[in-house]
Amino acid sequence: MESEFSIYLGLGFDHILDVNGYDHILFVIALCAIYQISEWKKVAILATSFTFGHSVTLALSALDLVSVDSALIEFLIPLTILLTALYNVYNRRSSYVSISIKYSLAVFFGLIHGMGFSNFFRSAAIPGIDEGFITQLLAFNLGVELGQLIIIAFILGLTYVFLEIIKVKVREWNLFISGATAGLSIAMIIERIP
Amino acid sequence: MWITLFLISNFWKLEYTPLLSIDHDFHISKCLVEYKPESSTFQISLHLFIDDLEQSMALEGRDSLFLLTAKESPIAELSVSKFLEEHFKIEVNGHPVTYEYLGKETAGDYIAMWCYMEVTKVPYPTQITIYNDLLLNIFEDQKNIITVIGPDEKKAVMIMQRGDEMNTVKF
Repeated sequence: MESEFSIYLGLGFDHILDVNGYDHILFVIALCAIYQISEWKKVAILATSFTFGHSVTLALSALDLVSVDSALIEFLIPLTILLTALYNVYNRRSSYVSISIKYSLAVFFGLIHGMGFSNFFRSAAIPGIDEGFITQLLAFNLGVELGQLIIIAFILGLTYVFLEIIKVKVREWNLFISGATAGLSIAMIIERIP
Repeated sequence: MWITLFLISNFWKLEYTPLLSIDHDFHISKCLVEYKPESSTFQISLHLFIDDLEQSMALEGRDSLFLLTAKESPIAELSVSKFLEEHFKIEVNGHPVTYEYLGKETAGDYIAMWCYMEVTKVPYPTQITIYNDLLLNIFEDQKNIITVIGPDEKKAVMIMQRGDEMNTVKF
């Protein structure tokens, strides 16, 4: 018998890493994959900003304090990927202003992804059993964060290989990552037009 | 030229064919099984996605049910209850018990539903075993989560997935 905590932790973990619904993975790639290892602080802040955003709306929506049509959220999620990818191409990476804008985008887009997580969470959580619901929510959120850390570790490793070992130019790597994530997100956007 | 037209015409359909519309990209059910000592019953509430259930039932020949719509089939209730009996089973203290199917209703968002069942004359449960392979045959990522509230409000949570359709809890 697994405990309630480990079951909901596993659900969060599996949900963000789900290859059938890879939109959250794609967003984290678009957000973080253009930075070199030496810029790990930026990646850490971006990931934390995203986490902050999605934790807020996951909790608010799970507790029924906020409610947005799930079809709309599913449509907006790939849009956040596309906008992030476009911003990667547009943005001059060295500028302080541009990275600050990206931190804000990470929070704001996190709010949207959090409502996506909550659509899943609400299908799995039993409301009405007071202290259990909070346990489930915390465990689920923690599972999502653990999954996200794995994605980021993978991305940093992959970027390291391409930028530091194969010596791909940063600009070219940026265009490749942004182009690939943008392309996939456009396909999702079209599929999900409400 | 014709191929292009064909592609365009089918691309267009993507948005309108209900089969391809995306309502939920995950497969999960949740269930609350609650022991009520005052009436010696188990109250069971089961939350399922309607489209998933219909798809799974259709595979067993129970199709065209239009669950919870204006044109719901007259045999829908019986079909659902038979289907549940085959895929959701409970044992108390090592002995199978039968439950009565009470009915169903749409969940808040209309893409999911609640089914209600009740087991009466339940012996004092020290051990509860649940078999639940609902929808596991059609979705690889289907997960069935069950919260069991036993005597003295003791709680256990189970998760069923492919290859792990049965769980036991001791109170």
